Amino acid sequence: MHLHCRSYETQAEFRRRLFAPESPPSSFSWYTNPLLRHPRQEERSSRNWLHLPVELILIIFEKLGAIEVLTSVQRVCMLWRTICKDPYTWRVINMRIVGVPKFMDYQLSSLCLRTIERSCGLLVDISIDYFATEDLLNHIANSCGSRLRRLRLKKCFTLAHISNKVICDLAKKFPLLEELDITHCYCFHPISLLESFGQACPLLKTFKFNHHRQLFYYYDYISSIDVRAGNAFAYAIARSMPQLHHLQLLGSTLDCDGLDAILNGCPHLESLDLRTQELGIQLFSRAMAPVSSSYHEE
Amino acid sequence: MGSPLKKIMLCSSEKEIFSVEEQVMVQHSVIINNMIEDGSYNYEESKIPLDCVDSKTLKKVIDYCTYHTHHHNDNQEDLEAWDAQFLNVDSNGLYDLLMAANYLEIRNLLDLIYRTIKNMIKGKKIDEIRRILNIKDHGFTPEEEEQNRKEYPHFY
Repeated sequence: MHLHCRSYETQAEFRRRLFAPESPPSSFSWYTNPLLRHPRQEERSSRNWLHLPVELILIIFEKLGAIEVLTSVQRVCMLWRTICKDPYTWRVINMRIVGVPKFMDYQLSSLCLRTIERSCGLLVDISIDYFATEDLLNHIANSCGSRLRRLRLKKCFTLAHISNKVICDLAKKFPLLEELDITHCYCFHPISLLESFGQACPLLKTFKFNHHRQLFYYYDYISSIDVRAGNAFAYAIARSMPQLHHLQLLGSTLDCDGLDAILNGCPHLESLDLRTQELGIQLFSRAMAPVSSSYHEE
Repeated sequence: MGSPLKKIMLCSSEKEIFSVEEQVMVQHSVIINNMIEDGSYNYEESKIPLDCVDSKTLKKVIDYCTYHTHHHNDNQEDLEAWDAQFLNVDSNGLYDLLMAANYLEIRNLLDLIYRTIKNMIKGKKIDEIRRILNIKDHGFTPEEEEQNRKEYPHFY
């Protein structure tokens, strides 16, 4: 999914040089006398970042994030703008926002729409913070849903009101989805959400569904009986997502029964992250005993 | 995998030879690890030619690998402080390090360099980015450039 930094060309070149016949042994002065070395002084002063291999530029762009790249970076030089117009650049769209969003003036939603258009349907991995709306998700689903492998949504508060039916329709449009990360979105229908995605996405391996603990109480039909709510969610995961390999439920309130259900329902589970979970350590180790080797806490 | 003190020879673009503990390079460089593993390196005769890496950069790369091999148990803060000090170089030096780390496939160092480059560029105005990366010829026609500046003055 991620771009590899390995350059096959340089590797091949490396090999070629390695097995090339050695040049005749140089005289001793060659090694020690700086005046006899290559004149590299001129080159040094003119390192040209524009000559960086495109694959490395792509990694730098990916690290910078789509917002930074599309606002200022693409106007730095012609080469970078050309790269930004290439659909291949936008196979991975990272619209994450570190800290408080300050780019709202630039209308992130429309920026995101344009980026998705640039990807020409090649998009496989998208991460959105704050501004994902029902319309935007529908657009993603319709234009590149059939290829999408990773969808990450964080703090998209408008999604809280998304209806059961819409969720169900959306899920069906992501048949290849492998990772779904919904963090701090406070969806009102969490159980129907995970049931829809569990059924519609057979390749789903990683599921993250995280909350701040204190906000968990705002759930619609999840009453004040906290533990039962957490368990209901756990039972739903066990029922509809047996194919999971990685599960993260930060701020969840399940207890030992819920944990048992998950462990029994998802036999392929390799990692389970329940930080901020208040399970007693004894209960925990009892439940984990049969799969202790597969438990992994970051 | 050889004994921990076995040495291998690296040869910079200036044909200067650096002798390094095998373990140090094997742990960090994917390429050298592959070479040692598939037996294409001959301990008596081979020198690994790194024609695109100059001596100064190669020395730094070896410093990095050596330090991280011997201090991998140090606490995170100390390592980060050392890394920050290590990458306190100008943009030319950073460029050379990036090319060398990419050539040798040293993943940790690459990550560190990408992070540094990201921090160098992030949130900066376009003129500043051009200055930092020493980009003199941006390739836009004067008209395009002028129009961009007019349209998006806050980016410049």
